[in-house]
Amino acid sequence: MAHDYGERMSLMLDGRLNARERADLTAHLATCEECRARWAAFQQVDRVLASAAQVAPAPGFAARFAGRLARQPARRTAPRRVFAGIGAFATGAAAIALLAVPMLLAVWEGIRTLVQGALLLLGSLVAGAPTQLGYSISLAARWLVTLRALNEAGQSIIGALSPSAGPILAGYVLMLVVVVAAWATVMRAVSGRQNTMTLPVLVF
Amino acid sequence: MGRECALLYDNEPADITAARRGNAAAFTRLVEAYQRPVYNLAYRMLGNAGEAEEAAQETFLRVYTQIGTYQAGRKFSSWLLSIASHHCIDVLRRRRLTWLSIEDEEAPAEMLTSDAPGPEDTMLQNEQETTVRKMLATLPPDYRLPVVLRYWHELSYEEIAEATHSTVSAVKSKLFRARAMLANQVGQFQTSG
Repeated sequence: MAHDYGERMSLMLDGRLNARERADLTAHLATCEECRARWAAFQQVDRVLASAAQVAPAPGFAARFAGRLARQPARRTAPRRVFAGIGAFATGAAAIALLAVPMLLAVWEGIRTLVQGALLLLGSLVAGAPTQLGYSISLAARWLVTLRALNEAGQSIIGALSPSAGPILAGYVLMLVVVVAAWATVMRAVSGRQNTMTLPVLVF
Repeated sequence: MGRECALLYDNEPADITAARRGNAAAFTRLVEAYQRPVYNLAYRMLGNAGEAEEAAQETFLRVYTQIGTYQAGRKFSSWLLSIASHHCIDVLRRRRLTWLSIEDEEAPAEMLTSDAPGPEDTMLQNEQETTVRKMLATLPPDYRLPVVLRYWHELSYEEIAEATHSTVSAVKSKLFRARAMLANQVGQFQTSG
C-alpha cells in the first residue's frame, strides 16, 4: 500500500523537516518496505542532480554580449521608458477620444431622440384611455408629436448610415482603427517588447 | 559540486550603482560575474547550448534595460535569475509551438571544472551530463525551473518563490512532484544514459 510520505521525503532532502517530523519519517521507513524503496529512489535522484556541475558558456561570452549591446538600437532605460509610456498613453488616449467622441455623440443623439419618442408614445398610450373629445384631440396631438420625434430619430440614424454618408463614416472608422493600431504599436515599443524601429508608425 | 555562483562579488553594489547611471564598463563586470549562473540556468532549462547562449545574452540585455527598476534591497542574483527564468519559460512556450524537443539535441556545452579532467573523468562527466539532461527533459518547464534553481543555484524555497513569482507552498509541491516523477524513472535513465 502506498503511503503519503512522498512530500516529507522531498522536504527531508532539502533539510526542511523539524526533528519530530524527521523522527516520524525515519520510524515509518523502518517498518515500510515500499516507502523505503521510494526513499532510496528519491535519494538517487538527489545524488544524480547534485553531482552535475554548473555549465559555463563558451569563452568570450562577455565580449559577445558587449558587441551585441553595441549593435542594439539605443534602448531606453526603464525610468525614461515610464515617462515615454505615460506620454504615449496620454497622447494616444487623447487622439482616440478626439476621434471617437463626435461619433459617439452623433449616435447618442439618435438614440436619445428615439428614446424620447418611445417615451412620448408610451405616455400617449397610458393617457389615451378616456374617450372624451378633448382627450381625443390631445391624444392625436401627442401621436403627431411622437411620430415626428420618431421620424427625426430615424432620419438622424439613417443620415449617419446613408450611402452619401457611407464613405465619410468608413473613413472615420478607418482613421480610428489606424490610430488605435499605431497607438498599440507605440505602447509595445515603449514597453520594450518590440524593436523601436517600428516607431515610424508614429509618423502616420 | 561546482555550484558556486558569483555571490561573493565584492564590487557588486558599486557596479550596480554605476551601471544604473549608464556605465557600460560596470555593466560588463556584472555580466562577467554572473555569466555562468545565468548561462547554466538557461542551459538546464533549455537543454541546448545554442539556445542557452542566446537566452543568456537576451537576459543580460533585459537586465541592462531594466536595471533602473532593480530595488537595492533585493538580492541582485535573485533578481537576475528571476529575469532569466521568465525568459526561459517564454522560450519554452514558443518552442512548444514549433514542436522541438530537447531530448534529441546536441551534446552538452563546455563543462565547468576546477581541474583539467583526464579522458576517463571527461567520459564520466559526459555520461552524468547526458543522464541529467534526459532527466530534466522529462519534467514540465514549471517543475524543471524550481529543480534547477534548487540544485544548481542553491536558492531557498522562499527565494525560488520570489524568483518564479510563486508561493512557498507551490514551490514545495512542485519540487516534490518533480522528484516523484524522476524517482519513477531514475533507474531507467542511468541504465540507458
